Amino acid sequence: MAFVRVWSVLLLLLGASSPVAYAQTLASAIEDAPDGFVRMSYAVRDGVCGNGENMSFSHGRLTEHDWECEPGPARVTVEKRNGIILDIKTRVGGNWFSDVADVTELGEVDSREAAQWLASIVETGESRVARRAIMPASIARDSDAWRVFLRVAGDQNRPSRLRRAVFQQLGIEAGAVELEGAEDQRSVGDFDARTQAVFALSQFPDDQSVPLLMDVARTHSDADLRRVALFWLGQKQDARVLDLFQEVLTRP
Amino acid sequence: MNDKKIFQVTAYAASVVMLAGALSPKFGAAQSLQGRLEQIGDGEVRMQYAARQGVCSSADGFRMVRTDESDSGWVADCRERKVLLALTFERGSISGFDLHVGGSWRRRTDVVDLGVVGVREIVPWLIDLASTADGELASEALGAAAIADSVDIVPDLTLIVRDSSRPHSLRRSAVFWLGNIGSDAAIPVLEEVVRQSRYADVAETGLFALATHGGETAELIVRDIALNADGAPDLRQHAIFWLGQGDIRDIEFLKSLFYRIEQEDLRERVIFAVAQGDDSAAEEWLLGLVENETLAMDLRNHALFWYGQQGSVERLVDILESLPERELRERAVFVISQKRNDEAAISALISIAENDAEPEIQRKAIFWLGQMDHERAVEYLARLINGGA
Repeated sequence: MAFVRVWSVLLLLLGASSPVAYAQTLASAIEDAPDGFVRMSYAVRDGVCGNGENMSFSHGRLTEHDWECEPGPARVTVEKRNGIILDIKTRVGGNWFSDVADVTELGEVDSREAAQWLASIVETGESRVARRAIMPASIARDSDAWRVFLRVAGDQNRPSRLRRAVFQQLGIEAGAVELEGAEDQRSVGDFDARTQAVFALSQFPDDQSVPLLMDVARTHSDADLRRVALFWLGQKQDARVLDLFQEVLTRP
Repeated sequence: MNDKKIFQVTAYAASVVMLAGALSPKFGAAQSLQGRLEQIGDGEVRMQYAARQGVCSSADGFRMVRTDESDSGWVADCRERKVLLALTFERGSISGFDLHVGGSWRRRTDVVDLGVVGVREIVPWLIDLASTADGELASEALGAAAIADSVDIVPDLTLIVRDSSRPHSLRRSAVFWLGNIGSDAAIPVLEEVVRQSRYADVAETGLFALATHGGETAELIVRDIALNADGAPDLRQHAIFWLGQGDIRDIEFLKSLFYRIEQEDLRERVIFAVAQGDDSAAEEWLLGLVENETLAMDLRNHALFWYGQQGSVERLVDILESLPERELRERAVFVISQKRNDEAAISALISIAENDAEPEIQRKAIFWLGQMDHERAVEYLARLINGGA
């Protein structure tokens, strides 16, 4: 028989008053859950939507879908075996699968708390699971997982594939900040020779391209070009870029 | 030193060694090579014999050359027509086979040097070794026999080629050497191999051998294979390939062949074969294909690609500007970009990025500028981003 436990996180959270306490509570709930699948859902930031199968991340750009894209929630399933987290799967929108055995339901949890727990997995978890935690941590509403991402990106002791993935995510998130409040938002697919030129520039060796791309990201008047430059800098895995990411992400 | 002088020196050296052999009870002149080797037992034995004309020393061993100079300007060293062979015996079997053309051995006291061995003695011994040894050693022995001077090895090679009980790799080696020794007597055997072999790789080696042999008869056979509509497509492809190479290259035939075959993959092979030369007639013909609206787009694309390997940037820009088809125009941008460090190519791509009427073509030009690894490309892109281009 399927073992199903439904946690009322709200009840658990009644005594919690600080973000740290929230995180500890969710972490404890997941840690205490028996082997099997732990499921939780939480609100996502603007621009993220899905239908349970497909997801869309607009990062501030105008995106049209020919399918119904629901604005959340994120549905995260944590798989545990022998007390160890084996996998993290994320969907947005849609419904939970009903025919899954050994499920512990955490219900709807606070998005910041979920982001903090997932970021802790990015920071300390095994490489593959850590990489699987990056996206759900970043799409949570009011997430500040990027602070953890910055640490991981600069940590030479973390696996290189994980650091590469974190760099990429930081490039995307920093780029999204550039578009916040920008008036001239082009549609995806519009041709802009300058956008293509930023990509072309990124193809040159790091010594040539990174300083030029950083200059574009810092000083160009076009927000979309700054976004594109930050995106391609995220592909570079160059330590010089981390200060720039921090500068953009902490901008008031 | 001229050839006559070399012969004199070699003959003198040979006579000295033979005299030394006659005085030695261990290596009596009357004793066969096999007998002498059996007496020596385990260890390394060195010997030397005369190489056929065209066998030349090279850094990685030796090569067969027809002319003194290759296209790259490299000159083969063909002065020393001698083969140096070292055999290592272990428990009565050959465990090492070290063959060189020209040069000399470093002196060692722990090897037996038989000196100069007559080609009429060494060649039958090598053929016998090729018949009894396994794998690579057999093929090496066959090659060592094939490069010996003044011995007609075609009958031996023919026997091996026709004997289905022999190892596949040895028969292929024999086909290879039939093409390389340059004897006209080899041509009927090679034709038989190409037309009748049950094994595609052997037949393909036969085509290679015919192309290597060269000459009108060989070319006619290769042409016939290329034309044969009932022939195996792979073999026809190989025939077309070889008609674009070296001695049997025949552009006029290839051009006529293009319109006599229907299969697109074979026609692509013809385009490739024609493009292998650097003659202007080939370039013009390829351009004609690019502009021929009745041809399939893939073929025109293919022709443009191969034209671009030789054609000038200016002509490629002309093509880009004159053709209406997007696919071909994109291909033209790509082909220009492949002339990597060419200043004219950088200028052309910048001009296309700035001025072409189609945004998709501009996009391609900018993309390829990003792949150029050239300071002017970086400068242009930075200028474009900042609105100054």
